Amino acid sequence: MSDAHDSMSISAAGLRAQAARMRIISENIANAESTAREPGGDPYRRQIPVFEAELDRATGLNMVRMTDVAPDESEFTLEYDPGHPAANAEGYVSTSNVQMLVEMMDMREAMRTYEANLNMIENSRRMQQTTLDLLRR
Amino acid sequence: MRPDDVSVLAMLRQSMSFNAERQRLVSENVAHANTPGYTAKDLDVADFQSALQRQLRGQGVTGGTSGVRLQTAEAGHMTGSGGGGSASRSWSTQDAPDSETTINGNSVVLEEQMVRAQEVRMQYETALTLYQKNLGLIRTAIRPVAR
Repeated sequence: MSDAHDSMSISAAGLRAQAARMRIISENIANAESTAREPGGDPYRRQIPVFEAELDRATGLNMVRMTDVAPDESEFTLEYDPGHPAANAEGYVSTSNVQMLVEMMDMREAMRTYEANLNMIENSRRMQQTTLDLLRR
Repeated sequence: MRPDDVSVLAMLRQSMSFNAERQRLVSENVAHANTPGYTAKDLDVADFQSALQRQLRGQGVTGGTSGVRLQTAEAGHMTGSGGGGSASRSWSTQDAPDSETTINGNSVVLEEQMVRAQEVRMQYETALTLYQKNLGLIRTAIRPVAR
């Protein structure tokens, strides 16, 4: 009986992790155009969620959790815009390293995994329900 | 008489517990679909099949179950047939990577896990339906004839 409950709590951990990832992705998209305030400063740096398997001590289950958010160390892009308040001495503004296409792809993947976790919860629930139906007749 | 004294019921219960545990592992795999370095896991199906074979062979005419039994050294000891746990055992877990491994070492393919989840559910429900039918047989047997 507790197997169904265990699988549901693991799936719930999966849902939480994917939701947290979704939050990071929206943060990236929202800040895609964020530049520095002062001339020549660094713009918004893309964030990457880090997932890790984690043993839940209370239940002994192998849960998943977003343990960290790491910065994306790739290069910023430079745009020539001398009138911009964040432009450096040569007139270039560095813009964030967020790529819309990559974020969209990440978002679809997060959604897909989220739905798969939901499916597993539904599956476990049905199995439990049919077992409990034994009591009815 | 406990339900597990009927060997068919004991066997079906084992099958159900096997599938429930397998379902838990599929959930785990799906939850870790994006964890770097995670290898998909599955229960040892061959182990289960051989246990099932042993069970089928081990039952005599009296219809006892061949699960784990308590040792009795003295007359006062419990035989274990009154307590639970005769059919509950855990199955061995093994790494079962799916068809492709991503560049970060994760070997979970969601589609394959979904197929496995459906397979597990079908087997579980088959066992459950058979269990139900067998209970129905027993009910039919204990019902008064003239009614």
